[in-house]
Formats: sequence, structure tokens, C-alpha cells
Amino acid sequence: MKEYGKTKKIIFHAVSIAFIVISLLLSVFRFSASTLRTWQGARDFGLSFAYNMLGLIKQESRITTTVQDLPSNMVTMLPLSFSEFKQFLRVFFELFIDKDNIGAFFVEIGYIFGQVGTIVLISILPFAMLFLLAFLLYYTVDNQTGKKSGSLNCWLKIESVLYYPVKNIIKEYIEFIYPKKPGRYEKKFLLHDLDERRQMGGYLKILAIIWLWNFNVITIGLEFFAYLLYLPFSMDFGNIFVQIAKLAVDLSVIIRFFPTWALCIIGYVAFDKYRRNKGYERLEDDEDDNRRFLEEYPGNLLATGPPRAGKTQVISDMTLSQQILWREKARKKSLRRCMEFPFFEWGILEQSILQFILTDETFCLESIRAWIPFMKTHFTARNCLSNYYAKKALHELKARGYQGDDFIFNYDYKRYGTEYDNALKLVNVFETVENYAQEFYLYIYPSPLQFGNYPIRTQTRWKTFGNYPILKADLFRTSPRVSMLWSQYGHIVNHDALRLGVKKNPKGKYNDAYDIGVLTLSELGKELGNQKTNNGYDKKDVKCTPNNDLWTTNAKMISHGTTIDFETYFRILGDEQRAMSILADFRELGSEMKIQRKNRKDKIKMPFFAWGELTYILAEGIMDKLFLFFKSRHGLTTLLYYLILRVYSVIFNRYWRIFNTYASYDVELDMKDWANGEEGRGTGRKGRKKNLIETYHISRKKICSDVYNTIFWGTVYREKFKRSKVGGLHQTPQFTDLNVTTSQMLYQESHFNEKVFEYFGIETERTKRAQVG
Amino acid sequence: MKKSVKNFLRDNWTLLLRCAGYLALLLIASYGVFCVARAVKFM
Repeated sequence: MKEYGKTKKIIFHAVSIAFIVISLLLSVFRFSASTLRTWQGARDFGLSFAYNMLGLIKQESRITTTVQDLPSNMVTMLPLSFSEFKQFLRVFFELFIDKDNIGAFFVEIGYIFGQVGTIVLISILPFAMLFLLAFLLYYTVDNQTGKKSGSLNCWLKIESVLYYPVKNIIKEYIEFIYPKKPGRYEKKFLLHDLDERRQMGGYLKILAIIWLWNFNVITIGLEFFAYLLYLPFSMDFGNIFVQIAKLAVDLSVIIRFFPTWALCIIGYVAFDKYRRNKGYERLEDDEDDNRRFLEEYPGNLLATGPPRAGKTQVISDMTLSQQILWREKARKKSLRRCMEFPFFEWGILEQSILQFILTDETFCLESIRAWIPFMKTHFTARNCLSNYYAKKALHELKARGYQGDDFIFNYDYKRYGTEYDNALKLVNVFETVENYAQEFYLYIYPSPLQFGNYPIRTQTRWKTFGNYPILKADLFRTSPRVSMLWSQYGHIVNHDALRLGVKKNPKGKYNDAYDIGVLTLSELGKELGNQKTNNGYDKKDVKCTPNNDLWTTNAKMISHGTTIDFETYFRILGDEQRAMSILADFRELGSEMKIQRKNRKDKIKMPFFAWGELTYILAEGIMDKLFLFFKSRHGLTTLLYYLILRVYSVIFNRYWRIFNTYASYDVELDMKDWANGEEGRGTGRKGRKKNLIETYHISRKKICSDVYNTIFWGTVYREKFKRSKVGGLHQTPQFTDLNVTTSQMLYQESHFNEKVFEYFGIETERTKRAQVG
Repeated sequence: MKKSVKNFLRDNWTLLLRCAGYLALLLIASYGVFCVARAVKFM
């Protein structure tokens, strides 16, 4: 918790106590009816509870409950029975289509608009005068760049004396009563606790209880449970109308307490929260669609299309989804394995793996594949092992982090057995344990399950209480600060590790390391080449070339080594302008996704934001003109300009933050399966092959939040630009006329121009030199 | 009509349509509440 000065702390305590005292006084004098209602709610609950308990022994008739009745002091005009409700509905629909009623409604609306209109009309004249004055004042020109006007300086002083201290003190007070949870960081990778969660302080808890009491929330809770306890033995479903009436009367306390403007704000905040949640739900639905797409096309995927079609964006997006998909899939599969021996001590296995990761730097899937058979051998031979050897082996395991006391993870095998009949075969407990261990390790994989030729930021967030960790695979709701704290960049591809033939560095440290992962390769065709571009290479070359490195052979076979429990955890996602630029040997291992330039306009998935969007578009149009006017005429920053910026920044920030969170667009992918030489699936009319168009959803929040850099190859171009002897484009020669001179043509170093000179027999310095040479 | 207004309408007609739709929805919802309040009074 933040440390405050002693005086400030005393003031904060005093203010909190004052708030509590005021709240209590209001409870006594303003909300006395709520206290009565709470007592009635408690009575209803108590009697219903007794009624329910006696009902269990068929003695419920001995208790007279009160929850079904309207309290004597409560007056309501709402329907209290089904017949009254029917009558209410009849009156409602009659009114709904009644001409006079519609007229009365519009009279009411007209009255409200009339009031607003009066205010607008009254304020038109001062605003028009202000606008005219501002125009006259600001029509002048000044060049006092970087200086502030006197009025602005005066305003800034007022701000620094009044606004900022008050704002800071409110922020500090909020921090005092609603402090952030202290951050915790430990070496164990699953024990990061870096979220910015807040927890209620003591004062806030007391205030919350008082106001829940005042606003009848406690009463509503008591009445709800009272009715729930009353219902099973009374079967009085018709009484629901009385309960609704009571609920409406209880809630009316809140409506009567706050003024209309405050209710409008509360209503807007609640509505905003609802629509934001709805927006997130829509993004999550789209993400589910994306994952379904990745499952429907399990092979390698190649995104193709012209430059700037968004190929790298699509494969980067798929990389993020694929990793979450694998982790979730591994978890679900491990749960199935777990049910083969439900009473196995799975916790010991999980904690042992977590410890091994921390103690053994080279711990990997292969370590599990060696460790579990080791345990099996020792368990099977337990009666033949000497006590000394068994103890020594266990001691060594425990030193590495093993949590069990025997070779079977403390499992009570005598009671529950070591074999499971799944109707296909008899499964040994160690086979299940091996699968479960590998799947658990994949689920909690300590780094991204991805490698490639460009960096992709992967956010893997965990919630853990020290036992089984929960993957928080949220891609949309996390704030940028939290997301960055939980992020890691992908592994760098080493192509030698993917070559079965000649390698560039046969002694490379990481040549045998890729046992799993999604391989994301941009500009894949330039790496692999095709039959034509690889023409000059000889298979017998000593130097590593695309023709002798057997990269594609590895791509075809690696799934044999990366399959765990019938699920392959390896796939290649690549991009290239044309599929034909890539070796057929690789192209036919998966599907091509030709990106269509359609539906590229972003849509904001948060509902009911059209008015906000329109406000921003109009404000932006006005500000565009104002910016030009102010910036061209004035170097001096004035008060009016400052205030306009203040207002506009509110509209600007709100729009762009919502846009960046909820905007998404759909990419249409024309799928082509090169393996069978067919485009798409199925046939269209007249027996012609029909292209299959799949839709992939691209969310800004997911992929544009510094996940990858679309210009990552720019590094090499920077080096080239740095070498320039003259500068940039600005320093290069320009045409002097609308005609091109021969020297200008010569300067272009063009193949075409060279031929033109040849056709027309024009002698240039170069041709002369060539003739002399 | 001014060219800029025409362009604005062409670029944002779906947005304007949505704005009008939401306004109509708000009006209908308000009318519903108005009818409920009156129906309760008349009962």
C-alpha cells in the first residue's frame, strides 16, 4: 500500500469516518423505511427457512410464512395476481395502440424538447457573439511560436492551484479506501501476480454494507432466498407477481433518492458496461470461429495475395490462436486421461513437473518421456530393488523436485488398480501418466509454443493459487500494461534444425531442439524457392542449398515426432505473394489461403456506438479546419485553442480507445488444396469446381497491439539507406523539362532504355567505351 | 447539394441509418415505459 504523509493520513481517516457517520445518519433519518423492510425481509427469510426445514419432515403446516404477502405498510399499483396481470397487459396493449395515448406521448416529448430548445435558443446569442469575437481576435497573425497567451497562463495557474491538487487528492483518497493489491513477483514463472487488481479497504467495506442496507439490496437478497425456500413445499408459483411488486417497491428507493441527472449518469454507466461486455462477447465469438477454422484445416497453411493484402497479419493472428488452441486442447485431453485413473495423485505429478522446470534447465518433453518409463521400471521392480538403491533413487528424484514418496506418485494402486479397460485395450497407469504429464507440460509450457523468422509477441497469462494453474487466454479484455507484463516474444527459427540433409552449421547448439511448436515464416517462397529458381543448385553440392538440405523432407515427416496422444503439435504457417513461388514439395503439404480484398472496412463490435462514432466524425471534420486555421495563423498558444483541445481530446480518446478495442474486419480466404490439385471443396453448378471461401476475423485489439511488426524486414533496408552517399530522394536528380534527354535516359540505368539506344543507333559514352574496349 | 455533404452522406450512410435506427429504438422504448406507467395508473 502507498505511504502517505501523517497529516494526510489523519485527514483521510477523518473523512472516511465522516462519510460513515453521514451514511448512518441518513440510514436513521432518510432511510428508516429501509430498516423496516430489512427487518421484514429477515422475518420472511426466517419463517421460510423454518417452513422449509419442517417441510422436510412433512410438518410445514405448523408454520405460517409471510413471504407470500405484501407488507401492510407497502402500497403498490402493480398487478398482484395472474388475473390482475392479464388485466394490466390488456390495458397496456390498448394504450400502446391508442391514438390519443400516442398523442399524449409526443406532447410529453415535445415538452422535454421545448425545454431543451429554450436553453439552446437562449444560449445561441452569447455563443454567436463569442464565436464572432473569437473570429475577429484570432483572424490576426502572430509568429510567437512556443509562447502562451496571458489568458492561457492565467488559466494554467488556476488549473495548477485548483484542478490538479483536487484531482490528485481524490485519486489519493480512492487509493486509500480502495487500494491496489500489492504486486508479487517470484522466480517461479507461474507465480507472477502483476495484475492491477484493487481490494476494498475497511472503510469502503463498512460504507458498502450501509448503502446496500439503505438501498434495500440486503432486503432484496433476503426476500429472494425467502421465496426460494417457501416455493418447494407451497408450489405457489402464482405468488411471483407479489414478489415482483415487492422488488419494484424496494428498488424504487434508489430511484427516489437520486435526482434525475444522477439517475441518467448511473443509467448511462450501466448501459455502457452492458454494451462493452456485449462487444467483448462478439469478439470472443469471432475468435471461436477462427479457432474452428484452424481445426478444420489441420495441415500447413500458406497465405497468399498481393503486397499489403495483410498476409503476415493473418498468419500472425493465426499463430496466437493456434497456441491457445493447443494449450486448451492439451488440458482437455489431460482431463480425459485423468479420468482413466481418477484417484491417482495427479497433483503430485503436476507439482513435480513444475519443480523440474525450475530445477532442470534442459527439462523438455523428452525428459518426461525418459522419466515416466524410469518410474515404471522402478515401480515394477520394486520388490527386487535393494532398500538402499530405492532410497537413493528416490532421494535423487526428490532433490530435482519430485513430490512423491514412492515410484508411483503416492497412488493407492492396491485399492484402485493399475490398468484401465477403455474397450479398445488395457491401458497401464504409467502410459496414462506419461500422456497426462506431456499434456500438462504443454498446457503450462513456460514460453511461447511458437518459432519463426520474425518476432511475435505472445501473451500467456496465468491465475494460480499454488495448485493447478488456470490459463487466462483472454485476448481482448486485458489492458496494454498487464498484457505487456505477461508477454514473451517467440523463439527465433534456426533453419539448420529443420534440415535433415546438409546444414549450414552442422555443429549448431540448437540443431535438434525443435520438438514442438507452430513455425511462422514470412516470405516463405524466398527461403525455399521453387523448381525454377533452384535450378542451378546441384544435389551433390557440399554447400547447403535448397536442393540438398532436405528441409521439405523434414516438414513432411516431423509430425511423427511431435504427436502426443494422437494430437500433432507442429504446423507451419507461411506467407508469400504467389503459391507457385514455393516448391511443390512443400506447397502440397497443406492449403493455400488466397486473401481476397473484400470487407476490409473495420466494424466496431460494441453495439449502440453509432452516435459516438458520428460525434467523432463530425468533431474531426470541424477540428481539421480549426487546426489549419489556428496553426497557420498563430504561433502563440491561446486559451481558446487550449480549451478546444481539452474538449476534443475527450472525444478523440474515447472514440479511438473504443475503436482500437472493438474494431474488427473480416478477411475472405479463397481456400485451395494443392495436395489434390483442386480449388476449394465440392462442386458448383454445371459440375465446375467451386471455390471455398472461408471468413477469418481480424481484431485490432488482438493483432494490432504490438504483436508483430509488419515492416520487420526494414532493418536491412535501413542499412542500405545508411550507405547512401547523397542523402534521400530529395537529393536525387530531377527532370528539367517535359521532355527526357538522352543523358537523363542514360542515368536511369534501364534495360529498356539501353535497347532503345541500340534500336535507334544512338551512341552514348558507354557504347563508345564498349566499342573502344 | 454541396459536394462535401454529398461525399459525407455517401461515406457514412450506413452510420446515419444506424443512428436513426437507435433513435427510433429509444423512442419506442420510451413509449413502452410511458405506456407501462399509464397502464399502472389506470389499473
